[in-house]
Amino acid sequence: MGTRPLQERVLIVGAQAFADELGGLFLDHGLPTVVLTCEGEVTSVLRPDLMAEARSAALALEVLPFPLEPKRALIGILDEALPPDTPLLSLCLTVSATQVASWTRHPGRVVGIGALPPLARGAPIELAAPLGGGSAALKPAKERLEAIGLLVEVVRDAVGMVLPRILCTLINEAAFAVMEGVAAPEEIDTAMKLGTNYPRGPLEWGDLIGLDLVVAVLDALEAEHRNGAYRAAPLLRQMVRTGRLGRKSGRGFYTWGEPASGPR
Amino acid sequence: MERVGIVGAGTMGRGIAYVAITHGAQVMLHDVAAGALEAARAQIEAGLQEAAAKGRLAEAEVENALARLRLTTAMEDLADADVIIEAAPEDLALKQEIFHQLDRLCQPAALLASNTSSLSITALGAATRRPERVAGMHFFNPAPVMRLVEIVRGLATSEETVRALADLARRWGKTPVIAKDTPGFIVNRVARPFYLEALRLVGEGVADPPTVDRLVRALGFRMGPFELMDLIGLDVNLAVSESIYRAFFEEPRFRPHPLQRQMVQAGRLGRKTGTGWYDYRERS
Repeated sequence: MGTRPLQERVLIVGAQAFADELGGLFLDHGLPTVVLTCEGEVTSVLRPDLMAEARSAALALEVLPFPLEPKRALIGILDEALPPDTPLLSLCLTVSATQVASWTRHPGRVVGIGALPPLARGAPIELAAPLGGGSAALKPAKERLEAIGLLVEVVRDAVGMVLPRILCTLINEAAFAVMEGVAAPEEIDTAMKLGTNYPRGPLEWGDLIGLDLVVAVLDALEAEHRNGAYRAAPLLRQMVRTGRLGRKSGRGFYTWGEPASGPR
Repeated sequence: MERVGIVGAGTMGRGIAYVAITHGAQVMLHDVAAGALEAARAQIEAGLQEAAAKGRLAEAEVENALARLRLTTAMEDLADADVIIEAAPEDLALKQEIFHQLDRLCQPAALLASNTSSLSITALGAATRRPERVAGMHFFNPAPVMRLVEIVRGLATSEETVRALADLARRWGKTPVIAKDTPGFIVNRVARPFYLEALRLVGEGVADPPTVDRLVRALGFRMGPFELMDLIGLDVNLAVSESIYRAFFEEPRFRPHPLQRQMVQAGRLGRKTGTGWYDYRERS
């Protein structure tokens, strides 16, 4: 890797669900990529590696969706160690790009990313520059993500951007319907697939995204808007409390076998 | 063989009649307007011939299926039906009056189903002396194509009624799902955020309608929320939004968006008026 030109090195750090899939896409396109996973606090073991990798990175993606304090600490480390002109892309599901930029000394290089797992080739990904930033990093970020086969759309900065807001509110409404005994999860998913041609049932989708992340997105939206429209279904919270997070924990609205297969 | 009565020869009544006669049921199609009945028969016949031309239906079946369809403007002609499916306009008072009349003239064992997409099945059952035999049987448009049927259980609906209607839907080649009688049942309720969240995003200036639609299609949806609103009709979409919002006593999740109303006020109802979120006049 030492022979590669410096500007090509990509550093991805954050939750495995995002880091592995994005890392895979960069590697598939022959770009030297380092993936470091971190689900919360940056440990003392990870920190020196992260600092070292960041110093030579030409593009950094921070993909820890929540919680906010470890995310802020991670951004702080990256901002300190990255070369000042290296674009810093931050996953903005529970926070805005404007907020992330406010945590850094180089706000002009911050770009928000909106995406949800599963992330495969051709999947949509949203980018947003911080408010008033005129982010110089937006164009190179868009080019890099398009080059690895993602469908990139630039939107205005807002917590959750477009698709996470639409998907998480759909999943939430389906969860309210389950909680209220309107129908069983399988029936609700079948109804949405056959009645409105959804590619997946919303509850199956929630299991794939992870119900803890769905609740975190809804809570962040409710905190931002304070209008009651994003109030998470109590059933979702109960499921998260008992560890029924979806596919990653083996059980959510469905029981997921090993290896990860379909819900039925 | 079922004797099926259908009340209302509009789009849904016609579609349900088509499904029933192509699956062996005897259908008595009722409408107060003789003209609507004739138009329904012509449309059904054209549909059958098209299906035969495409090889989806045997030639002989066209005549057989048509022979199973009878038309009437007299509600009394529905008296010997085993199952009635009401597909009248979405007006509670009108539907309650129809259910009241059906209850008086139909056999005691007959099941009374409503194709309503938004009204309370419990309220329709309460207009009869047989609420245990009243349920929702919600087909999706176009009924011959869409596989889903929501079987809606009102507060008093018996399990037997639910089972019988679900079995009937299966015999007609449909996939029934059973839903409790709550506003919007499953589909019209769970689909609300697909439209409302998209409208909020556009209202807040996060993205414009084409961007939202492109993103949503990239997830695998056949249409984005704005193109789908244009197809459904913005007036219809607003009416459903308002109905569910009111039925939930103004729950904030269901609050309609001012942009919906503004578009309706401007007469931009979607494809049917030539403009909605997109301009269809330029495309032809």
